[in-house]
Amino acid sequence: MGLDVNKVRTDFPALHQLKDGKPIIYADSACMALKPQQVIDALVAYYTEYTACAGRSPHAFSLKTTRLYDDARKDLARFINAKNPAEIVWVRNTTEALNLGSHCLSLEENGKGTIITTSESHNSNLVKWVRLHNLGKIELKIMEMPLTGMFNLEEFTEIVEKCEEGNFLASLNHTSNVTAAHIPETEIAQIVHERDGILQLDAAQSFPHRPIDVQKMEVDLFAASMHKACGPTGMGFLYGRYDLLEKTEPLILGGETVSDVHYPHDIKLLSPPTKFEAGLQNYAGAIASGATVEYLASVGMDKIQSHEKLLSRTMINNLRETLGNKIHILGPENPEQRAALAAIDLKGQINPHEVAILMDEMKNIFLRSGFHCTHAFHHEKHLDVGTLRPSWYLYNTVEEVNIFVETLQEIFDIMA
Amino acid sequence: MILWLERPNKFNVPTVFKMSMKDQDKTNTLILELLKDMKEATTTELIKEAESLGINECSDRIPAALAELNFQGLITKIISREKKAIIWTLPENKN
Ligand SMILES: Cc1ncc(COP(=O)(O)O)c(C=O)c1O
Repeated sequence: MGLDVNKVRTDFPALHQLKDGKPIIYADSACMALKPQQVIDALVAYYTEYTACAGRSPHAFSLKTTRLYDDARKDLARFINAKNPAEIVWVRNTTEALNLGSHCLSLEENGKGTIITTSESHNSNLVKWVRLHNLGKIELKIMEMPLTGMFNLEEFTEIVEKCEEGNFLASLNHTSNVTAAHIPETEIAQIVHERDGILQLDAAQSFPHRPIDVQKMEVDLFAASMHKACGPTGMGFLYGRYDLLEKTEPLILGGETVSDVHYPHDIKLLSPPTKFEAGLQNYAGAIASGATVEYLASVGMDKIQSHEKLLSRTMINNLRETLGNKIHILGPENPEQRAALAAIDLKGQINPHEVAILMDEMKNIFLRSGFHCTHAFHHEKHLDVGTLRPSWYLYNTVEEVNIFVETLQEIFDIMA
Repeated sequence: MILWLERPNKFNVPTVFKMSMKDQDKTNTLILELLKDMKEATTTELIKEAESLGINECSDRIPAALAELNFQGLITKIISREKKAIIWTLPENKN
């Protein structure tokens, strides 16, 4: 049995609203996913029933918070098949997770390690590396990606072979938010590990959409946001192999990260993950993140993945049929190789931002336009006005995808 | 969004700063000023003009600012088939 999208939709209160008397077509999940009632309930319960910090105070509210905070970490660890819940660090988002992950590498001036990334990387997997490079702290290698989004393993191997053994981090986009392509992570892991390097995946667009097994993928670091996975905003996580996390310097230090401190300068850092979670935490967010993975698991990641394949197929085939050469869809030709999103180049005929504004007005279609935080890639490929990007998730229907395609056609008829 | 300087002081305490809080506020102000000068402009023209003035803002935020100003009734728009674009203008410029 496939995913019952009508049943799923009943879980999402945002979809029950009307705007100007018409339903909403939410096609911006690659940016922010909608929240099911189960996640909202978990957030509200923390704030209404047992607001307290975890792990410190000896009263009932705090004990409950501690239990649920730990349970959420265990649930997430199970969800991505981590060996140990201590390999999960709560952070605010993918961006913070990637920043933290880079601390696995020596950032000292003379011990200069190399960071390898790809040209279609999101700014969160690029800007910090360019900055570190400009400050002379790392070597930076950016592998150029084609518009098809296809990853060139041979070129990557050549880059890896030029890096100092054991002193490089490949920080790669697992699924691109513009080309919708997935990279062959297991082959990449082998190439990286042969030279004793570290593989970090920017999983912002993969974690929410397909089953994940970090052990099977042999990935060292895996960064994702809960808010793109129907979870609370301002929540994300970094999965890291425990031995690696043990050696990693925290991004932020302070309360909760130490077991003891003595003057003049003796501090004893705690073990992972606690040493990374400085200060009081977003307990509501972490607990609701547990509810999030429980929700996704109850729907079934396999079902979500095949439902999204159907949406992707429908969108790509219909766009090709109706608009053909008037547009160019970035990423793999084959819809089966794509995530359920598409950055569409309107070839200078209409401004994508104006299309997004009109889509909202005409049919309540909410989607994104512009550079999608991949400025450098758009500039490199001469897509200087940006692209139009619908992105679909478990709660979208084939009918909604069809309405999007029809509306785009209508806007072309009016404007182009 | 109401521009900071125009927002009523609901806390009834003296305003200690007159500067804009964020670049986004400056973007809104700039769009209004550009439309005063240009009378009307498409999104592409506004983005180009703002960039040529060296605005320190991601161009992706300009359309969101346009939509917000339009929602507040501070600017209006028409669709031009001739220009194949939306044309933005100030309400007082609309005849
Ligand atoms: C591929 C990719 N990486 C990273 C991010 C950054 O995610 P966040 O803003 O949650 O840190 C995004 C968000 O759009 C993304 O699409």
